This record gives sequence, C-alpha cells and structure tokens, in this order.
Amino acid sequence: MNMNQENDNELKKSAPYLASLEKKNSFQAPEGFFEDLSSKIEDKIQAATTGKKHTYLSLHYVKYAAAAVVLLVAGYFFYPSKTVLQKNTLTAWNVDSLTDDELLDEWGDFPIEYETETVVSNDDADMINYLIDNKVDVTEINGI
Amino acid sequence: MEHQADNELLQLFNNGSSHYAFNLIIKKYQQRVYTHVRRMVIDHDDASDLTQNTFIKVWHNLPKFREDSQLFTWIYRIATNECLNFLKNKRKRFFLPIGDVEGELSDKLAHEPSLKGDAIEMKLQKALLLLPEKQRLVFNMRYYNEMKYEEMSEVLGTSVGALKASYHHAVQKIENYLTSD
Repeated sequence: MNMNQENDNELKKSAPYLASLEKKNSFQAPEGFFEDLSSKIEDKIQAATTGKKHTYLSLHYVKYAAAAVVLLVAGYFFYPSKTVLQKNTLTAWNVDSLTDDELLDEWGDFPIEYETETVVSNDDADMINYLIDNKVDVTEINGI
Repeated sequence: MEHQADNELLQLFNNGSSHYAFNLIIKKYQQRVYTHVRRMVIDHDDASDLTQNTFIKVWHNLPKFREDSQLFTWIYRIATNECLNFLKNKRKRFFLPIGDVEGELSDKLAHEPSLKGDAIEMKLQKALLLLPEKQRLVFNMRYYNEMKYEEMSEVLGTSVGALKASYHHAVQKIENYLTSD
C-alpha cells in the first residue's frame, strides 16, 4: 500500500466528508512569479554581501575618524592650559634665571602696559616747585 | 521539467559550481516551499518574502549540510521555522493573542480571488485557521503534501506517535466544522 492509499484510507475512516472533497491548491502564485524568483534571491544574497562589505568599510573609517576627533578634542582642552602652565612656571620660578632676551622672547607676545606718572610738566615753574617740594638739589642731578 | 537528484546537486555545489547548483536547487524546490509557506501565512507577499528568506538561509548553511537528512526535508525545516517565527513575531509586534492573528489571516482568505465562489473550499480553509499553528502544519504536511510521518518527524522534531495523534485531532476538528451548519 503506497502513501497516498494509506492516507486516503486513514482519512475515510476518521473524516468521510473531508475525504470526499477534491484536494485543491487554492493558493496559486501570480503568473511568472517563479520565473524570476531565483534571480531575486541571488540579488538579495549579493546585496547582503555588498552591504556587509560597506558596513565593514564604514566601520573601518569611523574608527579612524573617531580617533581623530578624540585627539582634536584632547588637543583643544590640553594645549592652552599647558601653555599657561609653562608661562606661570616661568613667572614663578624661572624669571630670575632668564636673560632679558629670553624674557622678551617669552613675554614678547603680551602687550605691556606702562604705568606713567606725569612728574614734570613742560612748564618750568611747575618743575622748579616740584624740585623745591622734594628737596632735590639740581646741581647733584646735573653733576655740576 | 526534469530535475537533477539531490546528491548530484550537492556534489555540484561542493565542487566549485555553487551558484549554478544553488540555482538548480531553487528551481527544483521553489514551488513546494512557496506553497507550504503560503498555506501557513495566506498572504502572497508574506509567502514570497519567507520563501526568499528560506533559500537565502539555505545558501548560507548549505556548506554545513551533512546529508544526515534529505535535502528537501532540511529545506522544509528551514521554511517551517521561517513561518513559525513570522507568525510569532506578528503576535509580538502587535501584542495580539493567537485568535487575532488567525482573524487577520481569515480576512486575507476573504480577499483571496481563487477562493471566491468556492464556498466549500473557503469553509475548509477557515476551518484550518481555527487549528493551533503546529496542528495546522501537521495537517498541511500530511493532507496536502502527503508526507510520511517519518519525514514529518524529521522536519518538526516531533515523534511519529505525537504527529499521528496531532493529525487525527486536526482531521476530527475539520470534519466537525465542515459538517456543522
């Protein structure tokens, strides 16, 4: 007895009405569906493989881009404070040991504000009054 | 169309003609896989996607296929898992109880052109949707695909005895539904 007969007999015993029905394939695929199914599948496989490569490449580049960003950010935060530290260090401890030229090189970029006090006016009378008030001997100044 | 034997296809696949052999495997089994899947998910577009996914998995796993089982049984098993996962995800995604998924599938049946005007066939398909998913699978495999219980056991990983009982219950439920008013 083959499989179909075995199945039919089994069915006739337990479900005579169902057994009497014609077996139909009610779910037909649209016409032409199977003709290009294999190429659709191949395309998907191809796309997935290419997609994986792209993803891998993207990740590869992202890795380096991320490293560059970290370095830039780190540079931004650390470089200025390092410079200030260097200058502060110079100011606090090393100024005495530096030559004038070295100091100028070091501080040359900073605008230097001079505090001036007008002690002598162009007016001779004021000058004389000032010298008298401060008890300055003019002959001493001029080396006379 | 005459198809090559499975062992010849596998030999071709393993001997450097993998794409060609894979193409022949699709041509040989596409219709059976599609029909099996379509009976479970009803909608053509879903069945098309699941059939394609099945063969994509076949492609990726064929190098590991050990020929302990028949090629078609193995493909059938992949297709069956695709169906069950699809229906499970559908329920999860919409938080639907089983009945609601079957209700949605039943709506799709109502719009199936091939069933229009065939009241008996429509009733049979509706009766099938009332079965639990695995019982419906067992019924389809035995009734429509006329598979042996041993093959079904390989596909579903269930004992022959359990499958016989499951099929018997399914047949009884369908008979009752069809003969009721």
